[in-house]
Amino acid sequence: MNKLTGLILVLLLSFGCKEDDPTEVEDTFDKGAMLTNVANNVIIPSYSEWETNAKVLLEAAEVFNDKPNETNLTSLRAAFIEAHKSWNGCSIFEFGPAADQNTRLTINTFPTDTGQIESNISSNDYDLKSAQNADAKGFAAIDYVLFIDDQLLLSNPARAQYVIENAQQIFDRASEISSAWAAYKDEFASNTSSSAGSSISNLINELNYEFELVKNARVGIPLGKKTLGVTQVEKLEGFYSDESTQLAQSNIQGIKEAFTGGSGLGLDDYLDDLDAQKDGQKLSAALITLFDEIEEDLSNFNLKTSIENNPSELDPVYNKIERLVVLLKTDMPSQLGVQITYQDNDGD
Amino acid sequence: MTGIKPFLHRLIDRKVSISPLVTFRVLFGLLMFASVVRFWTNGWIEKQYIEPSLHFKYFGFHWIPEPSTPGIYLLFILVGLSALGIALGLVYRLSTILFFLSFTYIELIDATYYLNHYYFVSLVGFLLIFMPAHRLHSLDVRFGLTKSTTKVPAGYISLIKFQLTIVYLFAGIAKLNADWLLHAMPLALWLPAQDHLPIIGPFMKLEITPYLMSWAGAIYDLTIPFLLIISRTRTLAYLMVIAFHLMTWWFFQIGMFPFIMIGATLIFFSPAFHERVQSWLLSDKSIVSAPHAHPVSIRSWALFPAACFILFQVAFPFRYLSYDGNPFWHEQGYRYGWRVMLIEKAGYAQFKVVNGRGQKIEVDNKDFLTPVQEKMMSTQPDFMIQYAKILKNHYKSIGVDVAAVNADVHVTLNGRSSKPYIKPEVDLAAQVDSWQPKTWILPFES
Repeated sequence: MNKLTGLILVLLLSFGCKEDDPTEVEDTFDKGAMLTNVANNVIIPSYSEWETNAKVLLEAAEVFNDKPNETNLTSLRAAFIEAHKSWNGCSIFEFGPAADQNTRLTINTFPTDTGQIESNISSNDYDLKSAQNADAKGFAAIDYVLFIDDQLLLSNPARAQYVIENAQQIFDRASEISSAWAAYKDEFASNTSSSAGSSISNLINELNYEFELVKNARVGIPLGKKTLGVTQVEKLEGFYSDESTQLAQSNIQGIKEAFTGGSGLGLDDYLDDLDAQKDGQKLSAALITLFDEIEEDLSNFNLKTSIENNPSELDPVYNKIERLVVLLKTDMPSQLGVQITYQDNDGD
Repeated sequence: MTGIKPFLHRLIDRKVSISPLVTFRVLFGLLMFASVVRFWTNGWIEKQYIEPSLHFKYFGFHWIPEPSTPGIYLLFILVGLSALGIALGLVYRLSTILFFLSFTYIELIDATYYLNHYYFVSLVGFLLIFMPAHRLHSLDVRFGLTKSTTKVPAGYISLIKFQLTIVYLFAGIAKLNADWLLHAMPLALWLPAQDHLPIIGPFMKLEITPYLMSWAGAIYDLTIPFLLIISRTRTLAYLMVIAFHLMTWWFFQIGMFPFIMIGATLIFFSPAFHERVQSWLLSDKSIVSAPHAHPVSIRSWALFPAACFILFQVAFPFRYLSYDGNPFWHEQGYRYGWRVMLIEKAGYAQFKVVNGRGQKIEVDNKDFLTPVQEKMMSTQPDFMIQYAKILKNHYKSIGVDVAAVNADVHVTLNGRSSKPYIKPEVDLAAQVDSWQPKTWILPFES
């Protein structure tokens, strides 16, 4: 047995050595530090910004309700766009406190059910939490009410009230999640394992999920990708305010920050530590380049105008989005060695 | 010639103590019962069998009906109760038949969840039907449903040892490839992710660790059955079994398998060992000294099906050799081959339903598949065919004149950059799944 062990060791050393010393410990990447950074410098600030902006939105809605005039409408609309963009920056973090509340579905289901909204407003008797209003609430509902018809909005207090109800719900959610994260932070940062349901696994799963929402819900579906090329511009997020492009950009920016950990440690650094490559270059660089290019390319367009007039001009950027989805769903999780589903694997 | 007959006699006819078989029966039954409880309490019955709107089928088993919601719970109850029946030796024959049928049925509902160890459990469940494992220390004996015996033909125990040997040997043979031995893949991807573990964590990121573990794993698989057979090395070998399986259990998300193997390999121990343990546990010497007045013997006609089973087990895993290319890439002839923990594979499949005018519908897999199903489909060609046919039917039913179903699929294998996996222009819905090579899978680039 000893001879055998010796032989194996010799073999291993000859295979494993290359030039460098195989037993040398590399600077150990601290996953806990990465998660702490992502929590402290990305997640918590994003939520707190969203909470602040949601509060501004609610207050602006109340001001408008008191004095429905053009000036107050303008500031209410501006507050709405800010709140919506800041939500899009943190909607990727649908785990822990946000998942408990099923937040994505509750506050940002789009396209919205305009018929249901109108019937709610005219009956003035509705419960936003009820199942029949699942598609008639949140940012998309406010987007519709605020931008569909100025005169109606200025003249009918029930419409302003609908905005208030929705803004209240969004603000409540924002403050609940914000305060829950203060308690959840340590749990998040200390769960450094690679199993399903660990913090890194959650982060990767939601990164994929959210970016697929960019590909499908935010760009692909309006572009007609699911409908034989027949465009469905009204399915755009932010269709009534015509802020679709900015909303998509904020969303992509948020996803990228979740990946990079802002200026601190993030999944990109973790991939670098693992020496993850994509066709001869750093995988992290390939990912970041695509994130940046997509965001940059989008700024050359107005999604609504392009889809209405010349949808094919969006093909190059859509193509880049598709390429990024592939990297996010195959190369990245594979290199990280993280379990993204709960099912048992084959054992040995 | 003189050597063969005594050898076969020693292996098949010779009367040996029933006690190893009894231990095996009890542990197998208890572990299966625990597996059912674990599966149920994890909420997996719901997640794997109720929530999905469709199921991927095994080749040759597309006819398996999908049970209703109460039906699937009943099946799991049946597995659990029959597993207890096996452990207790209560209406043993019926219990083993019900266990084999209900467990195998559940596995056949959805190929998404295929694991070699489920296949192993089905095989063992099948073998137990024919084994007299309830003829001692069982409720059947106590209730007088069967006569007790202390001796059984060695063939029964040999067959289980054979099955365990097959599992280890093929797992070892599958490791003899360049990725495993020369590049330490996929352990080089998986172990660094374990660097948070106490004590051993820091070693997980050493460059040499995955090499050591890959080689150790291959040598372990290839030698452990023999080290367990030889009495001089048995105790050491069993300590290795425990250490090896506990380590993989600690590192990886592999469920009950390590415990099944730790329990099952006890069958290699001597009758004396099992008798001592059993009499100590039962503190009842009288049962141990039960007369073997009702010996069991193997009927000669039974040797033929047993030989077929053995031949099948030896030959079937090698069918991958009839396909060109890397079986880890194309996965043809991959299942039922004890290829475990060998690949880190991830894919992404964008399906496109094309109508008569060439217009396309891009499919969001989440609309049809659960995350696990999507993950499995994205790397397994036979699932892609099934999925394409399901999509074709779905879109036809809502009025689309479906001309073809294509897919852009990208797959990464063992840390290589993701690459196109199939020909994007092939109409997957028009493909027939068979054992013929799937020519639309793009060749593997190493």
